[in-house]
Amino acid sequence: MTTLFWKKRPRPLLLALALSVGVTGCARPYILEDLGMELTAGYDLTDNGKLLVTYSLPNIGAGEQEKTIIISSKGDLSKEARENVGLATDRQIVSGQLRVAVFSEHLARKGIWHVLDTLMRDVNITKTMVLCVSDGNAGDLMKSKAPTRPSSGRYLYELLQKSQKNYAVPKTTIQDFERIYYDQGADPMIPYVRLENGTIMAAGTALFRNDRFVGSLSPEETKMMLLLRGGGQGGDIKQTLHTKGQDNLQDQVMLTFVTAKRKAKLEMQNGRPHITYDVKVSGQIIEYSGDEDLTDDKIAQKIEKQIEDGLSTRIKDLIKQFQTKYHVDPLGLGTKIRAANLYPNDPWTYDLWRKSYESAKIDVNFKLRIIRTGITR
Amino acid sequence: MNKLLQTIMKKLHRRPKTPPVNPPTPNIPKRQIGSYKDDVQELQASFQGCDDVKIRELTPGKITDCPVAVAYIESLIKIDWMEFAYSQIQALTDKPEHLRPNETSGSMEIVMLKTIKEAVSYVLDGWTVFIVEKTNKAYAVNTYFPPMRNVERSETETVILGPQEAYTESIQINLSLLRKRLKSTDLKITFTRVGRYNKKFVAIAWLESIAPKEFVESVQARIEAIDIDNLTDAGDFAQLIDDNPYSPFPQYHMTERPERIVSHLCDGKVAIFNDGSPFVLSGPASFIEFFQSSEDYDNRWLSASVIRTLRLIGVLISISLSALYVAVVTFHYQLIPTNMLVPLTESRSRVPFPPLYETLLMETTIELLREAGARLPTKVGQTIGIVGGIVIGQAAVTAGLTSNILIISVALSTVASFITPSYIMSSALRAIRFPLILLAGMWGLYGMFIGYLLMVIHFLRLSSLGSPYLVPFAPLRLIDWKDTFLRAPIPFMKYRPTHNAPKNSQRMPFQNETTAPAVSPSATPDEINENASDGSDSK
Repeated sequence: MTTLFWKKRPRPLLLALALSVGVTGCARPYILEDLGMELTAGYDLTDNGKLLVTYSLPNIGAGEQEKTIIISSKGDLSKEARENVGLATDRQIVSGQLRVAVFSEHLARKGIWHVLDTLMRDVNITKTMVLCVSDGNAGDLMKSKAPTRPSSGRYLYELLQKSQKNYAVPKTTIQDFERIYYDQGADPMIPYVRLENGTIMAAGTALFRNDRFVGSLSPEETKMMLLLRGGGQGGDIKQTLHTKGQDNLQDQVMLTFVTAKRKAKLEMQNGRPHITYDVKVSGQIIEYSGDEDLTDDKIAQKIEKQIEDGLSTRIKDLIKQFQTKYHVDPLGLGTKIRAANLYPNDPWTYDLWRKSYESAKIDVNFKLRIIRTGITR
Repeated sequence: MNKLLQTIMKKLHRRPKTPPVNPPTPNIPKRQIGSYKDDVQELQASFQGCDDVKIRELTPGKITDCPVAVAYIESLIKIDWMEFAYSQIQALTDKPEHLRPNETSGSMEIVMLKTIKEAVSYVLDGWTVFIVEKTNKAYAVNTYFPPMRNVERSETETVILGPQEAYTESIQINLSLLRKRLKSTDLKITFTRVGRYNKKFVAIAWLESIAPKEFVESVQARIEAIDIDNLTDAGDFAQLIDDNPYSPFPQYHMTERPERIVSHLCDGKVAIFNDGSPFVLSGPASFIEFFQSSEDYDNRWLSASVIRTLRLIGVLISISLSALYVAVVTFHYQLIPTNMLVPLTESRSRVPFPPLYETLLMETTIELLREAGARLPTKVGQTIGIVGGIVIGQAAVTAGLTSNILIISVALSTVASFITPSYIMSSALRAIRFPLILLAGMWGLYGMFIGYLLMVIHFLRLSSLGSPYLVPFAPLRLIDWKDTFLRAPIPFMKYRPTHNAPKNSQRMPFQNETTAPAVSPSATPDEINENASDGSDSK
C-alpha cells in the first residue's frame, strides 16, 4: 500500500530544517508584562536645540496607585532620548502601541519632519497613529491629569478619536501627513490641542506649510473647512440670525449637517485659476432660540438663506486667510488645478503650485436645505 | 551526513531479529471425514483444553437408533434450535442422499462437512456439528445465537432531529438496520474474515449503480492484505486500510448512525462493517465532510448553514486561540487593541511563568479534566466538572498561576473543539493545538503560520481511498461547494458530490424533466404509502 517511511530515502534538508528549531532557539520575545509601552509621545524643543521627549507608559501591576508613568528625557534624536528613558525604568521601552504623538507649537514652527522620520521608519509603529500640535509645552500637556481617566495618554487618544468623528479636528493620520507632505498640491493639517485650566481640549486644526506649523483654526472653522473637503456630515454649527425674539436678543440657530455634497468647477479666467465650489448641504436644526414657526416653509427658507449667507462669508474669510495670511493649501486645491490641466504649457512644479494657488479666485456657493426641524410639542 | 541519518533511522525503527511468528494454530488435520470413531476423537483432540466446547455422544435409544456425536459451544448457541436441528439430522440419517456436500438445505441451514478442519471452524462460529455413526457423515447446523445488545440511542453522535437508533456490536443487527433503509438489489454486501485469532466478519457494502468499481476493489484489496492476529475495533481496522497510516487525521468516516451510512452509500461511498464494533467505516472521506452532521439536512437550510459556518469557525478557534494568545503576549504586543492592553497586561502581570508555560499548563489541565471525565462513570464525572470548573478555573487565577484571559481562551477553544460532529476529527484537531502552541511560543505568529503551512501541505498530500482529502477546495470543485461552508437548500443538491466519482451523478431530475413522483394510477394506497416512507429515509 504505502511505503513505510523508514524505507523511504531520508530527507536531509527536511531533517536539517527540523533540527534548526532546537538549534537556533527562538525569536526575541517581547513578553507583555515586561514592556513599557509608549501610548503617547510628546516632543518639545529645549533652549539649546535638543529634543525633549516625554512618554506616557501604562503602569500596570497589582495594587498600583498611579496608572500612568510619565518619563521625559533629552537627546539629539528621538530614539536616543528613548534609550535615555529606558535607563530610568525597569521596563523595556517599546513603541508598538504608540497611538498619539504630540508636538509643541514651538517645535512645530521649526518643522517636524526630522522627528516624524523615526515614527514612519519604525515598523512597529502603526500608520494610523494620530499626530497633533499642542498649544503649549507637549510635556506639560501629557503630565496634566485627566479628571475621569486613569491615564492622560489614553485620554488624549480617545479625545482625538471622538473629535475626529465630530469634525472638530481633521481626520489625519501619520500616513496622510506623509502622503500630503510629498504631494505637490496640498499642505498637511493635523489636530490642534490645548491645555486649558488643567484640562486637555480639542482646539481645531493645526495648519502646516510643508512641515512647519503656521497657524491654527478653531473647531468651528474646522467644520466649515471640512465641508469643502467633502466630509463634515455630523458637524454642528451655530448661526446668528437677523431676527430678534421677545427677549430683544438676536435669534440663534444650531444646525447639524446631515449630508454635504460638493462640486468644484475650475476654469482659467484672466490668467488666473477660478474655482467655484457648489456645496449642497442638508441640515437639521437642533436648537433655535427664536419664536418663529420653523415648520412654515417661508420662514424656513428665510432662515436657510441667512445660514447660507453666514456660511459663505465665513468660508470666504477662511479661504482668504489660507491664501494671504498663512499661505497654505489645506484644501488640496493645487491638486485640483493640476488635475484640471489649467497650465497646459508649464510643467507642474512646487513654485507653480504656490503661485497659482495664491492667485486663484475662489467662490463658494452654498445651497442649504433644512430637512428636519425636530418636534417641540 | 546522509549515511549517518540512515543509520539513525534504522536504529530508531529496528525490527525484531526473529521473523514474526504465525499465531500457533492447532495442527488440525485436513483429513476427510469418513469414519465415525476417528472423527470424534480428532474433534475432541482439536478442542483439548477448551472446556466450553461440548462434545457429546448421544447413545442410541428411543430417539435415535445409531450413535450421534454432537459438538457445540454452549454459550454461543440457542439450545432450542439445537434440539430442532437434531430432528432434522434424524431425517437426514434416514435419507442421506437429500443433502450433498457443499450444499445448504432445510429451514435450519444445514451444511454437510468434508473435513475436520471445517468442522472445527463451524463449531467456533457457533454452529452445531453432528457426526452420525450410521452414515459416517458430519453436518453443521446454524444455531448461532450470541448475546446481543438491543438497538439503542446513539451516545457519541447525538442529534436532536432525525432518527435516534444506532448501530450495535452485532454485525447482523447492523446489516439489518442497513437493509431496513435500503431495500434495493443495488445494495451489494460481501463478507470477508480478518484476523488470525478472531476471524472477524467484515462486510463491505456499496451501491452497485453508484459507487465506482475502483473504490470497491481498492477496499477489498486492502482488506485482503491485512494479516494481523487480532482486530480490536473499527478504529484500528481503519488505520490498517488507510492511505497514510502516519497521518494524525482520520481518512474514513466512523459513524454509528445508520442513516448516515445510507446517505454515504447513496453518495457513492463504500461502507465497511466490522463485527463487534458499533462503528461503521465509510470512505472516501474528505476533510469538509467531517464537519457535516446528518442533522444539517433535517434543519432548514439557513439554520443548517449558520451551524455549519459556526463549526468551521470553531475549528479555527479550537486550534489557534491559545496559540494566538501565546504569540501575542510573547511577541506581538503591537496587535493588542488599545482598549484591551491594560486588562490583559494586568492579568498577565501576576503570573510567574512565561506565556508558553502558562498556556501549556492550562491546556494540559483541561485535557486531563476531559480525559478524566471520559473515563469516569457519569456520577463521578460530575464531580470532575465541579473540580475543573470552580477549583481549577477560579483558584488558578486567584493563586496567580494563570491569567483570566487565558482561562477564557483555553475554555473557549475546548468548547469549540467539541462542536465538531466527528469525535475522531475533533480529537485530532485538539492534538494539533499543542505543536501550534509550541511554534507560537518559539516564533510567534511566524511560527504559527509555519504550522498552518505544514498542516495545509499535509492535507494536500493526504488522500482517502485515493481521492484527495481537501476536495472540493483543492482540487477545486465549485459544484461541491453547495455543501461546505453553507448547506444549500435541498433543491440545489441535484448532483452527488463529485469527489466520490459516482457512476451516476444525478440525484434528482431537473425542472424540465419529470418532477412529479411517478405513481401509476393503478397503484394501491398501500403502495403509495410505501413509496413515501422510502423517500423519507433517503437522506
